[in-house]
Amino acid sequence: MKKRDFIKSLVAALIPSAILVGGSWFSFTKLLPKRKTSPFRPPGALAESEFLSKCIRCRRCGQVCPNETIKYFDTLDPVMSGTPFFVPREKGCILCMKCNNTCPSGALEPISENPDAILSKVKIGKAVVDKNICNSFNGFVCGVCVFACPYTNIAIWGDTWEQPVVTDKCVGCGLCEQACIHYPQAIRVVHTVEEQEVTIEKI
Amino acid sequence: MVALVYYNLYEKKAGQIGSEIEIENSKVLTAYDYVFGDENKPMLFQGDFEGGLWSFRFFALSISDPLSFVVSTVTALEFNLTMFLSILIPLGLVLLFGRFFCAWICPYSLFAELGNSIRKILAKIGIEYFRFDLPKRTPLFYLIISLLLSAIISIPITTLIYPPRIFTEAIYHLILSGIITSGLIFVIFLWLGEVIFAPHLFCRRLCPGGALFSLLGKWRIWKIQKIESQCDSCGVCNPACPYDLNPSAGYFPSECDNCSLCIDACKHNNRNALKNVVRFKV
Repeated sequence: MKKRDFIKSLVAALIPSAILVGGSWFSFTKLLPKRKTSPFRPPGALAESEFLSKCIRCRRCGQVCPNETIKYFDTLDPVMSGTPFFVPREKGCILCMKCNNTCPSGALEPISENPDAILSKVKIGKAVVDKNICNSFNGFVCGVCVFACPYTNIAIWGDTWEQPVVTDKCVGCGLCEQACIHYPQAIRVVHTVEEQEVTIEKI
Repeated sequence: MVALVYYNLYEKKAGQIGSEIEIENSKVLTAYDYVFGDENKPMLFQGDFEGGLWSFRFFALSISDPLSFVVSTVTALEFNLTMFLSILIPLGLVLLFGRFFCAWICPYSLFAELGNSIRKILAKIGIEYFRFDLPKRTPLFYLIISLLLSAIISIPITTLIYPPRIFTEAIYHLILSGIITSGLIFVIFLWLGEVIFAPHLFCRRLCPGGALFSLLGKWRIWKIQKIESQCDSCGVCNPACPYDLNPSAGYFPSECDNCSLCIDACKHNNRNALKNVVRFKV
């Protein structure tokens, strides 16, 4: 190949790549509203940055999801676009372990359907109770979240007057948040405890 | 293939609403049901197919695009054996047939060829447009540069403009949530730009998948070949080639996607100088 052709092809290939990288950077930092928290990924997901690099955006997890829990980002944001997430408030994960067993790229690590395996491996987040607004802490006996949990008495148990106590075994499926009858939700799924303050601020 | 994608997504939507949905205007499905299934309930591989062109599961077989494996591996800098196994069948087909995917499976090539014919009709009327072109090696360079940049920022930017992926997600979202994706808007504008400025430009000069397949298809054994004794070098086949190759000179490099348009053009002259043949030596 001639030197001139080489440089021409290089420039012609650099322009679209630069537009894509610049566009991702611009829309991620300037155009879109900043996310205070990272989204909740389906069970078995790797750490956020690793997940974004491994996911091939094939949408097979959403197609296999029986509960219509998994949704996809589709914005002009090329970083997040096409990656799966779910909103516990709208629909929690029923922990069927179909999405991570169908994932072709390994962005969602396969986990067996055995309840003990789910309990030990899945870590989407952790439910946190806001005692200031929770019905059970304010004179009404409720306990909806305790009965909505797939691991009642292991991940969450009802104290006196069904006051919910979340243990460290909580996987963060969000079924309790979906079931909570108080609005705004008194029990919320968060990634870390520090994040709890952010979600409270939003409300 | 596309019928399978449609059918399975409609099945899912039916589950969403809690009733059965009639699939409109699907002659393929009707024909299939007529032969194999129940008249009232279509039985097209129910529950045994999921995904799209980019990556799908058929019974127990998981198949992914070779480009998805390359991008995922380079971006994450990690080898995934499960994913490597899922690309083995397409990889073998690429090594046998070269860039066949572009001409025979890729949904965008249909639109690109449609744009080509529109251009030809307009040229017959007498409207000639500006013909824009990029250097020949651009797709390979784009593949390499965008992979490097993806590895640096660890976001797979290479496939953002890859039509099979865009069509997979566009069909998914159009059926299930009824929204038009940003990728589909990009493809529509790309197609309009191609019709006006440069026919078939994307497939020839930018597509990263095409670049990867032509790189792997260098040693392919299924090729179009010129038969010297039959050919009188009339050159009818040259303008028919969407990739600007030179079929009349017997020049079929790895960019050739076996679309056979040159063979069709050759038959116009009642000659069969070009043939699809198996060749073991390049």
